[in-house]
Amino acid sequence: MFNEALSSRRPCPATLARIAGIGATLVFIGCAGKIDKITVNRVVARALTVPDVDQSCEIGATLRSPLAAATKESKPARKALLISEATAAMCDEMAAWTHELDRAMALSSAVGLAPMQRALRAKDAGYAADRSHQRAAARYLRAWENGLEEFGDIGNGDCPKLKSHDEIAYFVTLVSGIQTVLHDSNSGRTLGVPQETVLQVARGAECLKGDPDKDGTIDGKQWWYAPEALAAAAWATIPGSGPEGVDPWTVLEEMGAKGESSGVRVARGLQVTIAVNAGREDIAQAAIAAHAAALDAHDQSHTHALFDRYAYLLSLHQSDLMWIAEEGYRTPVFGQLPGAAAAGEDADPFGGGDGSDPFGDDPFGGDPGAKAPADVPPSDPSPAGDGPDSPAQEP
Amino acid sequence: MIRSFSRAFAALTALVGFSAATPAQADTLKVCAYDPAGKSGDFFRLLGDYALEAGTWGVTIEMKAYTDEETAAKDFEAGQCDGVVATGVRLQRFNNYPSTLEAIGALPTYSSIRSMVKSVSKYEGIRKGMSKGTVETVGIIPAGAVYLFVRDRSIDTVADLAGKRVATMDYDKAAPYMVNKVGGIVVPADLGSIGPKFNNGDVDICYMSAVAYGPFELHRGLGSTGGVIKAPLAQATFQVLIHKDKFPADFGAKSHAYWAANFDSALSAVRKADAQIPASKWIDIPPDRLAEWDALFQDVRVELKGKGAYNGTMLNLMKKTRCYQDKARAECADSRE
Repeated sequence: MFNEALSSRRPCPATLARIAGIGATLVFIGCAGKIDKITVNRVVARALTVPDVDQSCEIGATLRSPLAAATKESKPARKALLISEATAAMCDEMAAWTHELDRAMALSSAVGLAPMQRALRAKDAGYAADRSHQRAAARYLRAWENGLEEFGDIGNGDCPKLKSHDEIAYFVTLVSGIQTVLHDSNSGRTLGVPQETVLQVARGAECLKGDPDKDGTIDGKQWWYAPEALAAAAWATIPGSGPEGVDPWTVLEEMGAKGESSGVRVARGLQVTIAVNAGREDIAQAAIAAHAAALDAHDQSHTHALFDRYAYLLSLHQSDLMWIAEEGYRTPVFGQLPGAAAAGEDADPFGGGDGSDPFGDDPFGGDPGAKAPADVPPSDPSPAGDGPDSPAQEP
Repeated sequence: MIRSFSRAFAALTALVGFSAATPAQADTLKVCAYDPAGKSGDFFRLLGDYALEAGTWGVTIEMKAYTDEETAAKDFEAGQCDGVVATGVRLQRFNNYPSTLEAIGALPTYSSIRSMVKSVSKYEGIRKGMSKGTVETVGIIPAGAVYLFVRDRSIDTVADLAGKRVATMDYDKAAPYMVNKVGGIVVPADLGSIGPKFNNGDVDICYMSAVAYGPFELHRGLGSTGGVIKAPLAQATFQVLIHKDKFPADFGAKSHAYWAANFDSALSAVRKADAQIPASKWIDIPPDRLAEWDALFQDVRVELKGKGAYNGTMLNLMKKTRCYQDKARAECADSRE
């Protein structure tokens, strides 16, 4: 970054790089455009190739203030700032997920806490989650607001003219718009983010659709069908907000399926999140299973691995909540659903589930001490690593 | 030995007796809860706290989110849910006594609905009507005053409604009756279509609580000429309805007490929504014209009582509340309700 700034043919006159401290904190002072460009083209481009959300969120949280300080207050590097805020928000989002899992654990009948203990633990975890949601909402809101400053009143008017390196910042702005509303809602509307923001996002997502294909199709293929999924997510959230006759759940499923082979399953993660929020567990469970199957069937994108990882974590979190509610522990194998094991591979092949013995009193010829024949299936064929103590598979 | 056996038997009997009185304690009860915003909605959040509190009464409740109200009500009817949370008007078919709390013009202020919710909690005599057949309404939660949104702010008298197209919810019996009575044109709508119809100009008027103002982008329909009449048409409520045999006998009393105690925290979400409507959009109605609206509302209530849509006992209770809070009201001298 440092070299690129200095070796540019048109260097910012006031650009000054300082390296301070053991951590080599890098601060550019002066040109917002240059900082934006380097952030998007170099920092973000590199970060996207690493499927590590924790690392990215920490970088975002760390860089936010240096980036803000590097330019004049009147002309900040908005694209860099919004990406920094949005990635920082993911730290709070993951903290909120942890607290939500704690709450679910307290409430799980499989855990079986006494009523008062159950209520106290759930309340405490709930309040902790509220705080994390509030911080996430505030950071996503700042990202969204920086995006509005940069790209204009998104969703209300013409599309902004997006250069290729602007698109990633625009995409992050849209995601931030949806996320600030969801996290603010989950925090108890502490910030009062207008809910209609999601409709702005829905309209703004149109601007990410590419040029017409040979057959004239205009779609969000370049963005793994996330633009269509973002719009459908908004329509599913606010009744009557979508085009007449269009079922948002059908659109979410179509886009989830279309995006699978791209190696960036953002549409699936969004589908799972929105379906759970709407109480559509049937849709969420099917989408989780499809998401898991897609991870097996298609390699992760090398260029946008971070987004794919984030989408996986979105789905995994909802899966974890389902597992904890029903079984008292997190997802053992991503894609497997709680209760499905009993009905599927662990089911008794001889139909003795009601406690009766389908072979009668003496299945093997009258010798109570005789060993079972070799062709009888083992009682618990679970391979090592599939038990509840092992973590969900990595994509 | 005999004494010891007797004690053990007595203890066992007491335990069995206790279990019989609280049939649902051991099980997790499912409540199908409608919130238009789903799990992240303000009301679903309130219900989560309520479920936790119910746990301390020995009743374990799992809230299941629904964004479609009618589906929640049907699942309750089909026995797939032990309880349901939905708006009063949607639950009217189960018992019109609690749903009458949403009667047109019956509770003109948040103070009046607060008084009713607290009275329901306080007086067993008022709570009796909450139980009908196998179901019981065990909670009243304020969902916001319902206002008339007009595309032309010159519409502010009853006479102005004549000839105007009014979007009315297809499951609401009262609003179409009132629209017909004043010579308006009923345009059936549902939650999914009412916003677009208003914003596109397919109707001149719609009625909603302020909670819908932002999400439905009703500012588009209001434009520069429209407004919101600052005279509540009704008080929308979310109501908690249960299958009685699934819950302990004293659950209703405890539940009503909970919602009475938490009325203001529920109302705070509603007040935030009211505050989102810009001050310039409110249409204040002068007292003389307000009396005209009140008279219309009373006529509609009395007529709908005659048709069985509203419950006479509840109407009478609400009239007492109105007249207790404002003795100067014209209706306090008559006995129509």
